Amino acid sequence: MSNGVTHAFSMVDLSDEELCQQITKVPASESDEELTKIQVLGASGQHAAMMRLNHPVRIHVEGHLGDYSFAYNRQADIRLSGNAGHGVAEGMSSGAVRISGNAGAGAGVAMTGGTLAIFGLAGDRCGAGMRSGSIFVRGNVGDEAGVGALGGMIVIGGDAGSRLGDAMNNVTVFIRGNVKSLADGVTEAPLRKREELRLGLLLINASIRGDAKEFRRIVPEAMLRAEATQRGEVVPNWR
Amino acid sequence: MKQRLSPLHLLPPPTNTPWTGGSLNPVRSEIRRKFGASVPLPLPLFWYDPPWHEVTADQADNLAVGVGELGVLVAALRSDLAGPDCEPVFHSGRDSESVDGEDTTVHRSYPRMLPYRSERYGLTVGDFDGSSVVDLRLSIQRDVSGRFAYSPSQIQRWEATPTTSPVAGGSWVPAATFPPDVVSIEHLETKVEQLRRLVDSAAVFISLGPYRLEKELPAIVATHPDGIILRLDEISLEGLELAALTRRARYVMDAAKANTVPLWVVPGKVSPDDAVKLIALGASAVAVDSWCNELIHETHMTGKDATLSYSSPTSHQYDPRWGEFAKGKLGERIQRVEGLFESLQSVANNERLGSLSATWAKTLGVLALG
Repeated sequence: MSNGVTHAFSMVDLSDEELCQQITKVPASESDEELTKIQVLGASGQHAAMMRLNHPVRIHVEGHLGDYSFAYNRQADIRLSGNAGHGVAEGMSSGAVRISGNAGAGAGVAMTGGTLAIFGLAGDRCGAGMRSGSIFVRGNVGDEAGVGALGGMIVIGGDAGSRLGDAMNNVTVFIRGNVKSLADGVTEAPLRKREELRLGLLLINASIRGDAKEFRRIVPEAMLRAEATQRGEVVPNWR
Repeated sequence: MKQRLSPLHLLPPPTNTPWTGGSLNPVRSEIRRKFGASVPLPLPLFWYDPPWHEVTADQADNLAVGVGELGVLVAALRSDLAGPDCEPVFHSGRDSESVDGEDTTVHRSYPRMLPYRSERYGLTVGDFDGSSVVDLRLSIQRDVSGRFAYSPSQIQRWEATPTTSPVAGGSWVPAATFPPDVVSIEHLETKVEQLRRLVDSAAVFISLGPYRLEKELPAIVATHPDGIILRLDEISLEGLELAALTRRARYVMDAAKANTVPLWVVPGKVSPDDAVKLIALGASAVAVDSWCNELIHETHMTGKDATLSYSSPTSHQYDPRWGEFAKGKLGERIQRVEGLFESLQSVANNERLGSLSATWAKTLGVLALG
């Protein structure tokens, strides 16, 4: 096996339950720097694949997956060479999911941690209801990205559809392209130096090309007002 | 207690029916699942939407256990009952003395409903473990103001945010209308399948409101849930309307070839007699939030000085006095349900209800008395 892959499994030969069991049995690396590498072949649009993984290994999946793949992931560092359906990485709390292709609606919905990176396009309601963690989309996102999100960060390399940031709370969106429309209560804000540095680092970590200076910042208006007040003062009511 | 369905009467068997003993514990049933073993249901009663955030997390956990001890299925997230670093007793179960009097302990776990709301606020992966029913809630949450929203205290409980930096600056948070990762009702089937895979112990139910039954219910049934929950508590319904909607939902499901799929109803305020009449009308289980919420409200009223934030970093301990409190408030009503339910078993399905009101009899298709 090449590229340091020590274990390989096929989704054709194993049920999803068996596959997850096999992945969990693979001994984790003693080094945080170099995770044990696992290759998964035979992905062909299966729904609800590899949910609830909770093992510190690096998994490379070849092919396309259907809806809700990698939901509730913890610890695993996953790369999918292909497209994902709706709700990819739903409820992820730690680890990382990287999708080389496109993702459907609700990518990263209800995430509470970890990193989701989509190198193609993402559908509507990307990052909906997320409570923490980071989402990076190299291409465009659909309508209502970040709807109902309570926390975390969304980075959009391309354009966004309508009502970006609808009902969004303590969330920052960085966007490089055009926005069809912003939702009520969110606004474009200047990119501060410290955010520029932070975003630059995050882009590097997510393997997304580009300069942080190319991005603009979208935040709730109340969050901007709260920033303007000094720490320790009353937090403005958001509605 | 007000009887909403008082014009309906639970009928005894016909006069010439031979004397037979009743079946043993008929209220105990099982939820048949499309895949996997059936899920036991001790009583045809459940607590659908407890306002856990109105009491402390410790109190909520104790109340959930107290009601669970009575065999009522209780809906709760971990974050409803404990902070992030604490395991609720209701979720972990507890050791109690063996009921057969021997000097042994048994581990008691409680039937639990997992409310899977569209936004998934407060939900953690551990919530899936050991739940009996996962309820995919398609009905939209209203707050006390009537908005489709969650109150600040509800969000604070779920997200365990410090009081000094609350979510949304301490304002309400809008509620979702439909799961953001599902593109249409037609695509809901893969969500149902996903939930089945996430929780192999549970039956997957879908709950919805009664507003567009003829159109939406067949579409929901087509996604093959293990059961349907009909929310009839969101609007003010007359007794006949409540009964007719229950009847109608059952007819619609039967017409959609879902005659074996259980229909649970959330009727708002009902008496034990009303609950059994709803079962006779076609419901398989009935929400008794109006009874159980009394426990929350009384606890709230007597403990207003206590902090309502989640912050209870230590492990919870169950105090059996909470069980006595729950039993004192609910015990007689549950016994009445059990007794009336048992009496139903000796009467044919289509002869269990009658009414002296021609309107009720005709509308519901029950026996016209008199």
